[in-house]
Amino acid sequence: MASAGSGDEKAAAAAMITLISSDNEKFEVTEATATLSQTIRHMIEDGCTDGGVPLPNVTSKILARVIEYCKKHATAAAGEEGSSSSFSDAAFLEVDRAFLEELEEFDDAFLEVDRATLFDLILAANYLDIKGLLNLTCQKVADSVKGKTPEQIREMYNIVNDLTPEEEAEIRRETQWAFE
Amino acid sequence: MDSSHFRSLNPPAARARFYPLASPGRISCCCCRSGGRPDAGTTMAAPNPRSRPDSQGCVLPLPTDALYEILLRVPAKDHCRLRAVSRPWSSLFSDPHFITAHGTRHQEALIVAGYNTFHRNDGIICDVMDLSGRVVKRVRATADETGGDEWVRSIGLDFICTSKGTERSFRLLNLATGAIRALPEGLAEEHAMHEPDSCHFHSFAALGQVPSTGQYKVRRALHRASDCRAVPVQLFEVLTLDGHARWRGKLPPPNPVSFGLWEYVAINGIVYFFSAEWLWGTVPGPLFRLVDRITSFDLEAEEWGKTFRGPISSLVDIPHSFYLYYDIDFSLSAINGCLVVVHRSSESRMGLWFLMDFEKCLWVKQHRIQVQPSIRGDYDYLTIHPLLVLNDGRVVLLHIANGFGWGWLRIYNPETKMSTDVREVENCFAVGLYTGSVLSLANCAS
Repeated sequence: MASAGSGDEKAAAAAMITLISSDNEKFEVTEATATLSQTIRHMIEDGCTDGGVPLPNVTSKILARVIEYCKKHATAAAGEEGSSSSFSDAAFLEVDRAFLEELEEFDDAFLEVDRATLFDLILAANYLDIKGLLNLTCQKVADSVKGKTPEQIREMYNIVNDLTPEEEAEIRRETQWAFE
Repeated sequence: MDSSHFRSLNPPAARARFYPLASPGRISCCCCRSGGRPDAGTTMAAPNPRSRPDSQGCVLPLPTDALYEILLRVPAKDHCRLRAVSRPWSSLFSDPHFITAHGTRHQEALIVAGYNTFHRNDGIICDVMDLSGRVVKRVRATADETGGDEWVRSIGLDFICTSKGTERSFRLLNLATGAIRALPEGLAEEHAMHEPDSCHFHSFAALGQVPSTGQYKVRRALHRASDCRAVPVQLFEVLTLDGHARWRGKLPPPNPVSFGLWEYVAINGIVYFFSAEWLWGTVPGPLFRLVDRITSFDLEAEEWGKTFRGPISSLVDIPHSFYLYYDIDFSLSAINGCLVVVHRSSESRMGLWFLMDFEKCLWVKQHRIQVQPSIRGDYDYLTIHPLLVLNDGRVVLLHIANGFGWGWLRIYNPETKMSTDVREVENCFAVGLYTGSVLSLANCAS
């Protein structure tokens, strides 16, 4: 996980970027993988990635997961680019579909984490501006609150109810039908 | 439901980020509001300060912008309940940026069903519901010094138009803002001199919007059935919804128009009516009329347009013998921005004719609906009013089965020729679509 694609010739030939986690662990990834993060893409464009990119908000544990996601999805992005030139090739599309299914399975498995890790992934995706990962992780949390009562959500996510009883009564009165 | 029915309308790139996160220093931390931790989130070098749930378990360990991203993905129907979770959640749901971003992401079809408070004791005058039948907003009758029942006359452009107390007393309620406006009751000057007493008139109102200026105008029609063997008296007036709203009298069209339920509709600043060439029977009562003629009133020019043939008489040159009673076999609807004549050719079959070309008067029967025979109800009152055609070809319609406005909101699937019930309705006398944001709806006072 810590270094990208040994044995992968394409990856070895590509430019490598070093990412440094908050606990000073170094991760070497291809530019294609790193640039799934808009934040890092901008840093590369600005030419300030020499000597590594410090990510003081992301621990090595989370960064490793984020890179795992980016590597998988960078491959997918490369596949999409390829497909646009030969989209009439039915066999190719068939392969593509299989790959998309595999990607979905990967995403599902990727989300099998505890709540603290999920939140860390959201923060990292937000900070690194990785749209796909942000969407994936936020959707997971969003799905978990659908159909839940305020009490259940507070309990699930340890949220303190800081509304005054009057405010809460007012909200419930305004939206009473939603609680029926 | 999600946005799948409207995917083509929903540009993927339209969502603007609310809190851009170019640097970690810009992350604002909602937990600081109540947790008392002094601004840990803004220290750039601090190693991942907010990533663990607080040891006291006191707050969701996510900054506002991450919460924003999450709640953006929760469908609007859940928002009303979630407002009661905590203050940051509640304030996010009221945030105009959030409302806009959420509206762009979740473009849902919402149906507005309008009622009559005379038949109910809960004071509810309309429900806004999604296509799963879930009510996302209930609106109560306007509470003010004028007593009396209130009933919905028409629904359009995200307004409901009601009558309160008397039929002539029109009010417009803006569903997005909750603002209510009572329209003047008295006749326009031009009419008042000839008709000193307006209380013998039935009145009807249609709201439209002039496309070029965005101005809202109400076209009011007053109809007095005359003594037998005479043409009814009809007065037409227009009011612009601005600071000095007053009715302006307009000349009537060459032939009277009909005002039955679903017999007039406003689309893009034009109000379409069935033109009724009244012919008369041998006894007083319902008059005969020449069916399937449509006339239009242009709200911008405030003039009557041409009278043109509806789909059936366009296809076949129907002679004068094709008279029908003032019945329910034809109705008008605005579906996906197009004028539609709904023609029920038998008890169980109806066709939806779309006006494809106004100039050439080109009608195309785009949809057919078979009414299931199992439907209970009184045939005399059977009304099927199509509202919307979804991208997959299913038709959302209101099916009213008796004179008390009882029936269902349903979705008809042309492939299986079956309808699925979305919701049972009672006392439903008007129906329309809501196109604005559900969130701004939810925030308006009820």
